[in-house]
Amino acid sequence: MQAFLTWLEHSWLAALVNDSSWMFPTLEALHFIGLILLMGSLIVVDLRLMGVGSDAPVEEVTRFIPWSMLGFVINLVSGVMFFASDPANYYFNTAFRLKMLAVLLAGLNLLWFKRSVYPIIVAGTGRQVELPASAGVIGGASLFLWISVIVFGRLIPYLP
Amino acid sequence: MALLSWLEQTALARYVQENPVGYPLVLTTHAVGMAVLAGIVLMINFRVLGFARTVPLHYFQRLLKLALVGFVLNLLSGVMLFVADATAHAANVAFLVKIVLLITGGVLTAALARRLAFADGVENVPQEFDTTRRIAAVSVLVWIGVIVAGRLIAYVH
Repeated sequence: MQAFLTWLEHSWLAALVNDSSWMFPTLEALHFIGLILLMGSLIVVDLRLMGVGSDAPVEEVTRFIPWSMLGFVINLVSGVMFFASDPANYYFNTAFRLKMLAVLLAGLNLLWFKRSVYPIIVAGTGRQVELPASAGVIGGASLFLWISVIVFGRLIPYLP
Repeated sequence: MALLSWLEQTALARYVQENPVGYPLVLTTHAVGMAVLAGIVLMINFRVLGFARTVPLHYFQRLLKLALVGFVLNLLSGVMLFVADATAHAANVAFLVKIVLLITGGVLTAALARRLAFADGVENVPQEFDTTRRIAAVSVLVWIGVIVAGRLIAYVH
């Protein structure tokens, strides 16, 4: 791991971020735009899964998921560039590790959604879909985990 | 200015400046509030602009109430961040641009919310809805501007 971190620290990607004064603030602004795309669309979808606005057709509400994907990709790319700019500090940082753990759990939660609830939604298109109780748990877990991602991410500069 | 220096001496400012937990806590609250407020407003604007048209507008009216919670959260945490370093903030171009954009975004969003609340089935009145759509288009740009300007406060002196 140490070898990888050292290699990354001297890579062209690290140089790209570190050698200009405007690159880091630009990436930060992009990271925040990705964050609101991701969180905004997740709030729309997850609250519906939790039972808010149950007269809104759930299969139509899930059309907001691609905005989450776009936000995630923007933040993955900008996030990898942050990491490359200072690999060792990020890798050993407690807040960063907790943030990555929360992202991983949110990914598994999404997988659970894809396998259990999403097929029911697709099968019920055009009709009033009766969501299983697990849908509410998945929606709540998603909001909790992504808010944790924001909190831990914001704490990276303040935790060892 | 005397007022700004006085603000920096208040108990509220001292908490943010001196308590080791104060500043990170307020900053984190501000980030979560931003995600809730700007995230929801952005999605409502996308919907008004024609995305996922089959989702009823009144679902988004409910979400607007949650966006208001995000706004209150960020007004409070924002005031705390401001008073902790009032003189520097008042002279910071990025901060001043952020505030102007924030007021603009607030007015646009309030206008949008009013239109959605009043005209039930507002989409059925094409001319009326054209104006609503224009408001939404400008609002998207303004709110992104709020976030970019806010993020740049730390880099502008």
